[in-house]
Amino acid sequence: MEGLILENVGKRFGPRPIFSGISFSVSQGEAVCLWGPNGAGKSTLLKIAAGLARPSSGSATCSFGGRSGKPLEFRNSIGVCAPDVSLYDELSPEENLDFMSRARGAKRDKAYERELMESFSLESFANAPLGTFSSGMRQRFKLIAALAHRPRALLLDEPSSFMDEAGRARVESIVASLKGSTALLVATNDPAERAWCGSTVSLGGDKFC
Amino acid sequence: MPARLIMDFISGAWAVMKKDALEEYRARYAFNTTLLFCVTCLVMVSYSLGGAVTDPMLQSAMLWVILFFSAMTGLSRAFIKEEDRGTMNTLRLCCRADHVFYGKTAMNFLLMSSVIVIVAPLFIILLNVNMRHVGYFALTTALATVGLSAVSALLSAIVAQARARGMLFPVLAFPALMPVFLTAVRATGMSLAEAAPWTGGGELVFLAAYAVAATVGGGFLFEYVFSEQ
Amino acid sequence: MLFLAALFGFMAWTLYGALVVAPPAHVLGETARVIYFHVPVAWVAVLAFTMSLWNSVVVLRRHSYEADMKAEVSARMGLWFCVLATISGAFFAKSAWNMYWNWDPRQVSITVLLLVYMAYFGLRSATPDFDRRIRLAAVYAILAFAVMPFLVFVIPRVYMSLHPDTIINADGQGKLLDDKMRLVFWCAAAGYTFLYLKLYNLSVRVERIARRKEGWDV
Repeated sequence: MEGLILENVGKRFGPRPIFSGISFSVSQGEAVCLWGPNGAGKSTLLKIAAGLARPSSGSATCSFGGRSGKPLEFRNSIGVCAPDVSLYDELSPEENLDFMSRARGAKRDKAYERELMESFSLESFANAPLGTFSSGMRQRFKLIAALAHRPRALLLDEPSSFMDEAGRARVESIVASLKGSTALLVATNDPAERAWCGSTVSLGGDKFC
Repeated sequence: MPARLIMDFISGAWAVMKKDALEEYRARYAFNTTLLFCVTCLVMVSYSLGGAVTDPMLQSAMLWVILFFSAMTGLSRAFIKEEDRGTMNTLRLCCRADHVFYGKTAMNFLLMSSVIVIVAPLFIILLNVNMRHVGYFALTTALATVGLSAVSALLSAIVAQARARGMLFPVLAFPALMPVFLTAVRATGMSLAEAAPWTGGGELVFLAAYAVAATVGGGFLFEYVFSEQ
Repeated sequence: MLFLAALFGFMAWTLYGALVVAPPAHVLGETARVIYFHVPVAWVAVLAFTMSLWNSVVVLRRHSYEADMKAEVSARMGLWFCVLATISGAFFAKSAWNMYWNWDPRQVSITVLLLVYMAYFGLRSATPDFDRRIRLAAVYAILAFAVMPFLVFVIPRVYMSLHPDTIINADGQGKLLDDKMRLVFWCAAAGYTFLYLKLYNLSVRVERIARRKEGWDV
């Protein structure tokens, strides 16, 4: 199977368990929603799937191109847009994208980047420092940065937060266009975002409802 | 293909350093404060001595105390800045750990040596220092700065993940940097003294050995600090 | 049971031997009796720090909470024994050289060692996320240990030594102790090592109970 696999994952902060025994997988072309109330551990689970947090038990693995391993070994195949993943305020979108592609050792697809910038109406801000952006614009650019290297797995944590109506519509149409070819994992509280996904993993349901 | 690996390594570390240099150029987080700190301390020391004649060892000890504490404020920023602004995860997602470590070490070296290039002449003027062996002093400072940069990069990454970072950094750094510090003080004292310092050579070899150990060992340990895996 | 008997036997004999059996030393006189305490305690500190280092390596390799607990317990014990060695050394320094502190290389090194492990505990308490804490602490313990050879090399070049072994052995004979003294000395070394093992075992058990109470499954 190509995609993300989480097996029996648990996480605790100190001795306090947040969740445990979570197993699911997201294969390419599939869209899975992480659903649950605040504090249930959606963002943490998403970070574990991305390789940004260590599970206290269980494992998160990635499998692409016949190879499988830890998520961070697949830098060129994973795109993440989450509140804890920020970009550089002093640098412009252009410089941020340049840094990220150089760091990944990948070639830039400038035409695709321009297309993304245009679809989020940021094309005239390509050389302005990110620090001057509004929070909605920043969120738009974070999505662009997560998409620019054409990842095979896309992990989104509340992707349309801070966005206006037009922005939300853009996110939705882009997600719809990627759905067939990408493994998509969305952590959200928003029913509209949940509706993009084929299946749902519920966290902390019983305790909180 | 080792040639390809080396090219990847250089371009990855270069990307990190270039990004940091650009940020530093735009915002001047570290350079201005570090330089100002050094100059203020030098002026204070110079005024409080009031032109009293001091011996070379004492002068060199004062220089290195100032440089050490300025490094504590300036170099600790390397990862604290990333963690504070939430960009640490971007680094994790995009970069290999060794590229980050060597990029940050190179940036620390660049920062510290540009501060020293300005501070050293001021030191000579304000403390009335008779610098007899400039080449030896330059080599001492360069080698000591390599060790300082690498160890600071590693410790900065550790401290960035903890609370009370500003206080913790010098506490963690002092024992680890003590060998460089003591040796740099001695070697600098020798470059101010009359006797030719080159004959012994032990100090420079020691500083070089520490620099190599810090860069190689630091890169190895950094992997565990950086990745959450 | 056998272990406890051996521990008590060695410790009792060590106390008796140190104060009664062993003759006063040649140059240093009665004050030399401190070596039956000072040297074994310093040895135990080294042993504990080595245990802590080993467990830190295990933490990095396997991310084991158990190894982290052992590393922490060992470091804490090492720190206490290190304090005892420093204090006993300072008292000896006072009677032998009339100064508690005279920047002997050993005193400088042991101060650095104390600073390292105080920093280690500072780091631990400043890192709230447990999974991070155990890794960062392990990395720092290994880093600090890796610096030690450099210190051993550099400190004697900067500070002069008056430590007894360098003085008494200065004639190259290398005979520091007579037979009786040596017997007491080795018993003391064995006794304190047994004492360390017992204390270590107890501390690990106490720590394990404490962590279970907090809800850990170690």
